[in-house]
Amino acid sequence: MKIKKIKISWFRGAADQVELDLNLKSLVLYGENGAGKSSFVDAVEHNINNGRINHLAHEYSGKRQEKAVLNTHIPKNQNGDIAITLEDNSTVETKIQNNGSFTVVPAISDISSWDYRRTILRQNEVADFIANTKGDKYSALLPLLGLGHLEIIAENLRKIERNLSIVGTLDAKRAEISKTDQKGKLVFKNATKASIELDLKKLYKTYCKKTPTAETLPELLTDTLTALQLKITHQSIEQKRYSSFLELSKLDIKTNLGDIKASAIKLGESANPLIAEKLNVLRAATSYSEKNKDDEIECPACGKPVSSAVFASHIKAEEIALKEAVVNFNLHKTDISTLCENLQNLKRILSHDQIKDWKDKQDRTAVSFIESMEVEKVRNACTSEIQAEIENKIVSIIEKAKKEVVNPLPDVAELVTDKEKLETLQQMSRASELKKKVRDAEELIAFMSTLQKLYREQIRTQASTVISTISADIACMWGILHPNEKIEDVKLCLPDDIDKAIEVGLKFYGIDQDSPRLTLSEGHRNSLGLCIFLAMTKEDVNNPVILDDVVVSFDRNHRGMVGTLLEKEFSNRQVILFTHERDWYIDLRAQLDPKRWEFKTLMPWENPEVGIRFSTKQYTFDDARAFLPLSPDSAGNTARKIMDAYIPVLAESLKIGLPYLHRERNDHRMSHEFLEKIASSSTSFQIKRDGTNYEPFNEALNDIKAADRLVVSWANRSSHEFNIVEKEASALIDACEKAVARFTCTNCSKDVNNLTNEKSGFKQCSCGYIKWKY
Amino acid sequence: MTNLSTKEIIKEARSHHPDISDVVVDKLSNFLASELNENELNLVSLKQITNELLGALMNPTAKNEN
Repeated sequence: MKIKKIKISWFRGAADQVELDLNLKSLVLYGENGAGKSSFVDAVEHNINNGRINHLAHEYSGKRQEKAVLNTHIPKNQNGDIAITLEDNSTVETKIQNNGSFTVVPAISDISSWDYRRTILRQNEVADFIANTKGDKYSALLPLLGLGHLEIIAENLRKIERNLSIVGTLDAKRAEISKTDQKGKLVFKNATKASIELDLKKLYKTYCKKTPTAETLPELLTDTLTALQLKITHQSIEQKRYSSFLELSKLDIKTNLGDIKASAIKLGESANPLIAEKLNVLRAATSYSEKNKDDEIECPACGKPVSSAVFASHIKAEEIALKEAVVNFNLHKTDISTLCENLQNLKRILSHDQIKDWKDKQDRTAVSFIESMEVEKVRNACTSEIQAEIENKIVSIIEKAKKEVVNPLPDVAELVTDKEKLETLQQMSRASELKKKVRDAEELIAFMSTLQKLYREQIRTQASTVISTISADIACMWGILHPNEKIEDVKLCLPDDIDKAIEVGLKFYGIDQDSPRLTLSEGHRNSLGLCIFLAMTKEDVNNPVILDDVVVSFDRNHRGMVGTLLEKEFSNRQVILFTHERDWYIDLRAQLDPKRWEFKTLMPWENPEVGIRFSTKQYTFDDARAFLPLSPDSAGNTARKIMDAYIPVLAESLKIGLPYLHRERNDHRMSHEFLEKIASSSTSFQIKRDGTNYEPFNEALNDIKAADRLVVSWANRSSHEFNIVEKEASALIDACEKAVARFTCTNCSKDVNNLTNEKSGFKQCSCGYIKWKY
Repeated sequence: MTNLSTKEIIKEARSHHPDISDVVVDKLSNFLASELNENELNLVSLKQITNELLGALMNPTAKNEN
C-alpha cells in the first residue's frame, strides 16, 4: 500500500499544516539539516508504533513524549495533527493533545500493520545492526523472519521447566526422601523389601491375632499400628511407666542437635530466599552473557574482566554451588523438623501420669522449660542459643530416663521396638509416594526440555531457509553497491555452536570473516547495514520503504550506486528518500526515472512559528537565499556550490564533452567550464515554439551565458575575496536559478534529459517541447 | 529436519518420554496453541500454568477440562 500524502500540523517541526504530496510515486526530499525532513518520518513512525517514536524515547521527552512530539510554539487552542492518506484514498488521522495523549481514526489501519524495522531506516540505525551482538541480531531478526512466535514458545517452555522444580518443591521432597531412607536403614539395617513385608505380616499376625489375607500393605500397616496402640493402652501401670521411659530414652535429641549443627555449618549463614534470589540473578546473567559472546565482561564471581566463555563457566560453577546450598538448606530444615518432632514427643511423654513422680524429682527449670516450650517457634527460628538451651536442659533428662530402662521388661521393649518399626514403615510408605511424585515431575521437566530442544531445532531449520533467501538478496545488493570489490559472499548465518544467535559473515580478499566488524570500514559497515535492511524489507511487499539520511558515511561513488540499487531492486515499491546531501539529490534527479520518482526540496528552517516549508523551486537555491540578509558571501558561495553540483551532472547526461585534464583536475571541474561549453553549442539546445518545428533556444543560451558571467565574477569573489554585497548575491542566485530552470520544460515540467533518442542522438523533455542534440 | 507442526513436535517429544500422561500432554498442547505462543509469560501466568501442569501430573487419570 503506497502513501499518497502526509499532512502534519504542529507536529515536530511543522507549524500550520504542511503537506507532502507523493503523488503515489517514490520521492526524493532534499532539505538542509533541520529543515524538517524527519518530521514526516516521525509522523509515519507515530502511526506504526502506536504513538511511540523511538529516537524520542528518553528521560526528557515526558511519559507520552509530549515534550518532543509537538512544536514548542504550538498555540494553546491547537492540537498536533497527522493525516496520512494511502493509495486507496483512506486517511489515517491522528490528533495529539498537549499532554501527548492521542486518538487515531481509524484505530486499525493498513499502517498499523507495518513493521517499523522493515519500513523505516534512519541514519543512526544503519550501523546498529552490524554493531549489535549475535544475540541482539537474533532478537531483531527473528520476528522479521516470521519466527518470533517459535522463540516465544521456546523461551516460555524454558521458564516453565525451571519453575516446575521450584513450585513442585522438588529439592525439599528429595531431602525428605533421603532422610527417611537413612532412618529406614537404621531401623531395618539392610533388610530387603520382601523381608520387611514378611516382618510386617508377622507383626500383623501378632497384634491383630489373625492371618493376613487380601489386605494391601498400607491396610496391614494401619491395622497393625491401631492394634499395637490398643495394646499399649491396656498395659499395666508398671508396663506403661517402662514404655514411657523407653520412648524417652529413644529420643535421640543429642544426635538431632549434632545433625543440625553439621548442616548449619554446611549452610553457613546463607538463607534460602537469598540463594533463590541469587539464582535468579545468575539466570539473568547467563542470558546476558549469551547475548554478549564477543565482549569481555567484568565477572561478578572473580571481579576480573574475562571473556564471555570464561564468564559463562564462572556462572555455571556459581549456579552449581548455589544449588548445593539449596540442598543443604533443605537438609537443615529436615534436621530441624526431626528435632521438633522429637520435642513434641518429649512433651507428650512427660505429660504421662505414670511417670509424674519421676518428673517431679527432675530439675524444675529443665522440666518447666520443656513444658512451656513452643515447638513451632523452634521450627521457625532454631537459633544456636535455643540449641544450647535444649542441649543443657533436655539431654540430661533423657540420659536419666535411659537409666530407668536398664532392667528391661521384655514385652514392653518389644512393643516399643515394634512401634518404631511400624512408624518408620509409615514414613517409608509416604516417602515412596513422594519418590513417585518426584520421578513424575522429573519426567515432565525432561519432557519440557525435549520440547524446547525440538522448538529450537525448528527455529534453526526455518531460520536457515529464510536466511538463505535473504542472504542471496544481501549478496546481490552488496554486489550492486560494491562492484569489483574483493569483499564477497556477504550473508547472514546461524553459528553452529550456540542457539539464539545470528551473525553476518563475508569473505575479505578470499578469507572467511566471522564478523564484518573485523575488517570492514565504517562506510562499508553502513553500506552492509543498508543492504541487510533492504533485503529484509524486500520480503515485505506491502509497505513503502523510508530511508532517512542513510548515506551520510558513503563516499560519492558508493552513494551513486544506491540510486542504481533502488532502480534495479525496488522498481515496484514506493521508496521515500530523505537527504541533506545536495550533490546526491542532484545526482538522483539525473539518475532516477522521473516517471516513477518525485523530487521535492524544503526551504531552510527559519523558526518554530514558520515551521516546515516546501520550496517552490526545484534546484535548492533557497538554501543560498537563506543566507542573503546576514551573509551575502555565504549566499553567493552556496549558489556556486549548487551550480558546481548540478551543471556537471546535467552536462554528463547531455553528453557534453570537455578535453580530459590530468587526474584529479578532471574530477574537480567547475560549473563555469560546462556552462561555457553549453553556451557555445548554439544549435544543440532547441525549442518547438510553434508546435511543429524546432529552432535554436536562444533565450536559454543567453540566460546560461549571463549565469556563467556572474559565476565567474561574483561567485568566485564570494568564495575567495568575501566582498560580495547582498544585491550582487541575490542577482547571482536569480541568474543561476534562471539558467538551470531553462533545462526544465515549462509545458511538461520534465527536464530536457528526460527521454533519449539514441538513434537520432538527442534528448528531450517528456512532451518534446525542448530538446538537446548531442 | 523438516518443518513440524505443534502436534508433530509434541508427538516427537513424546516418543522420547512415553510415560508422560495424556492429561499432561493435552494441557501442554492447549497452552502451546494459545498462551505459550502469544507473549512471554509474566509471573502470574507462569505460576498458573506450572500449577496446572503439576496438578495434571498428580492426577493423571482426570479428564482434561480444556
